[in-house]
Amino acid sequence: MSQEPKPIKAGPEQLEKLIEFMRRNGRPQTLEALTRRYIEILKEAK
Amino acid sequence: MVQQLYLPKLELGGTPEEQELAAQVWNLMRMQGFSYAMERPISQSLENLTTYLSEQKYKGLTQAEEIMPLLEKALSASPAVFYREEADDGTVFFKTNKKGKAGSPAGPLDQHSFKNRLKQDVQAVETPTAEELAAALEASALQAVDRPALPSVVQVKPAVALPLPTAQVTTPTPVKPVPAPAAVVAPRPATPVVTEAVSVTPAVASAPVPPATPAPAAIPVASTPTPTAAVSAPTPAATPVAPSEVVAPAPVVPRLITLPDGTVVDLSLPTNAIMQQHGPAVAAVLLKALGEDFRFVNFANDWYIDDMTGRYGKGDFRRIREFMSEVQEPVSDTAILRDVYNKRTTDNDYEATRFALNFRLFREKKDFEFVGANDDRIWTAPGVTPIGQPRRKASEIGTDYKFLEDPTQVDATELVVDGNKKRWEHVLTFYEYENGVLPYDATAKAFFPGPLFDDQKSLVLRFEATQMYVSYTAELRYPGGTRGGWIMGLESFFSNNLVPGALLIIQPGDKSNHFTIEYKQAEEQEARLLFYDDRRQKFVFRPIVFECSINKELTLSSERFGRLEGQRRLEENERKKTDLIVANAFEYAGQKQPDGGYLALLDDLYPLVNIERPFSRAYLQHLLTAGNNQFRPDESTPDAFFYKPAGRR
Repeated sequence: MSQEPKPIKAGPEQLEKLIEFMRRNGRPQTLEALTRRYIEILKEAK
Repeated sequence: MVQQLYLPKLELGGTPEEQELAAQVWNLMRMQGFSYAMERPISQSLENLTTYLSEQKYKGLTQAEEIMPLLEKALSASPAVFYREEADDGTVFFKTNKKGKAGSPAGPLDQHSFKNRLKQDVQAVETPTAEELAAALEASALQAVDRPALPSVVQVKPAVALPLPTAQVTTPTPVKPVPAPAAVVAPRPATPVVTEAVSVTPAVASAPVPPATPAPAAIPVASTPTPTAAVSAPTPAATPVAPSEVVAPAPVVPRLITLPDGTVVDLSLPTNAIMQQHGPAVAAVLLKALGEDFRFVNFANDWYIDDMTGRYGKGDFRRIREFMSEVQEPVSDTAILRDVYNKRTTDNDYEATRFALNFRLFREKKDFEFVGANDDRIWTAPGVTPIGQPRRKASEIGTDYKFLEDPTQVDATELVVDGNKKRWEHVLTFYEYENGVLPYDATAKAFFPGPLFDDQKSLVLRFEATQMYVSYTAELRYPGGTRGGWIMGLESFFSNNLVPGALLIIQPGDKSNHFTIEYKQAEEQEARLLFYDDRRQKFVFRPIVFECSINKELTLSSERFGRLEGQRRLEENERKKTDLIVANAFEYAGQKQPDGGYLALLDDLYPLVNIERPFSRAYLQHLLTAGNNQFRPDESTPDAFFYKPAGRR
C-alpha cells in the first residue's frame, strides 16, 4: 500500500536542517553533498 | 592526541610559592611521561629541572646556583608527590607519577597494569588430547541421536582445526541439513520467507577424506522433519535457530515524491540509488531554494552559511594585491592563505577560511579577477604582469582566431584517446610558433576545462615540460564577443625546443588546469627553415639543428618554399584580408599556369597561409571553394585549387 506522491519541496524546515548540517560540519559543502543530505532529510520526515 | 583529562589533586607542602613551583615541576614531568602507565615512576634529575627553569627565567632568575636550592626545597617539601633519590655519584633525582604520588624507590620492574585490567580467573585454553577429543565426539554423537528435530535452517561453521585421531573419525562428513518443518515457520503468505539451503562445511578441514566414504552432498530442505540420526560427525558449532527468531522483513511501504518534471521518486530506496537516478533533478530543486535563501552563499559549487563566512576588509584586499604584485603572477587561494595569512591546511577552519577568501574576492570585481579552475582557484589583479609576450597584441590574436567559433571551419579532432587517457597531438604552425600560442579549437575545448563562471575570461594553465624539468604558466583566453579563444605563454618552450611543423603532445596533469607538455623526439637533424629576421625586416631561411620530430608537409623549408627568401611581412591592413593571404600563398607555392593563374595543393597552401594568420584546413578550404571567385577547385585533382588573379585573362 503506497501513499499519494507529494511534490518535492525544499521548504524552511528542510533548509533549516541543511543549515544545522553545515554548522555541525563547520565547512562548506558541495551541492552534491547538500543534495544527498537533503534526500536524507526528506526520508527522515514523517 | 591523548590527554590526561582528570588531573589528580596533589598533596603539596611548603609555602604557596614552593607549592606553585612543585606543581609546575609535576606538570612538566607528567608531560614528559605522557605515554607512561599511571603508576610508572617518572624520574628527572634536579640538575635537568634546574637547567629548564633557568632557561625559562623562573621568577627572573637565570643562574642555576640560585634556582637549584629553591627547587630542591620546594620538591622536598612535598614528599607525598616527589620521592627524592640520590645516586652513587651524588646526582639528585626526583620521582613522581601521573597519579601525583611519589615514585616508588625500588619498585618492581613489572609495573604495567594489564593483568589488573584483564580477567584474572580465566583459565588457559589447552589443546585437548586425542583421548579427550574422542570422548567428546562420542558424547556429541549420542546427544545428536537423542536430539529432537531442529526446526530451522542451520549453518554449520568450521570448527577449530584440531588434531583428530583418524581411527575414530573416518571422514569429515558434513552435517546433514536439518529440514525446516513448514508448520513451525511463522506463516506469512504475503511475504514469503526465503529459506536457503544449508551450507555445511566439514568440521575438520585438515582430516583426509577416504575414497570409500564419499561425503554426501548437502540435501535440500525437505518438507517433512527428519531425525538427525544419520549425523556421523559432531556438530559443535551448529546453533539451532528457534522458530520465533525467523522473522520476515516488514514490508517496505513506498514513500513517494514527485519531481517538477512529474517523475515519481520512491524515498524508501537507498540514498545512493536516489542520487544515481534522480540526483541532478533533486539538486536543481535544492539549488533554486538555496539561491532564494539569503542565508546561503556559494562560490562555484561550494555552499556555506553567510553568517559563518569570514569577512575581509580593505586592509586584507590591499595585502592580497601587494602579495600578487610581489609574486608578479596570478596566485592560488592556497598560496594566499599560506603566505599572507599563515594558514595551514591542517587547521580546523582551513576549508571555511578558503571558502570565505574565494567568496569575498569574487565580489571585488574591480580589484580581483578569477582565472582558476574548480580544483585550482587562482586569482589575479590589475597590474599583475600578463602571461606571455606574443609578437602580436592579444586583441589581434583574438580576432585572428574568430573563425574557430564557426563550427563549420573547425578541423577534425586532434584528440587521441588511449583507454581512459587522452592527449592532444598538435602540429605547430609558424603563427603559433612565433606567438607562443595554441588555438582553442574543438579539440582544445574538449581537452581543457571550460570557464567556471559565465563571466570568466581566462584560465591560468600550468604546463610541466617533462623533458626539460621546466614548468610554464600559460593562459587560456576563452572566446567572447567577436574573438576566438587561444592559449598563450608558450613562446619560450617553442623557441627553445621546437621548430614550426613539430609535433606537440599535451596530456592532462594532476589538476584540471595542470598539463604535461612534450614534443616527439627524433634524431638530431639540420634543415634550412623559415624565420623572420626582425633586424632586416625580412623572411629568411636559416640552417637550424633540432631534435624534434616534424611533419614535413607542414615545415617551411627552403627546398619547398624558397621563394619566401627575402620577402617582407604583409602590412597590417593587408593581413586582415584573408583572400590576399591565400593569393600570396598561391604565388609562393603554386605552379604557374598558361593563363597566368596558379595551381596549388591544399597541403602546400596550408603552412604558407599560417605564417601571417591562423587558418584551419576547413577554413582554408572554405575560402578556396565558397569564398572569392578568383579561387576554384581543380575538378580533376582532389585538394588542388586554381587561383587566377583579377584582371588577367
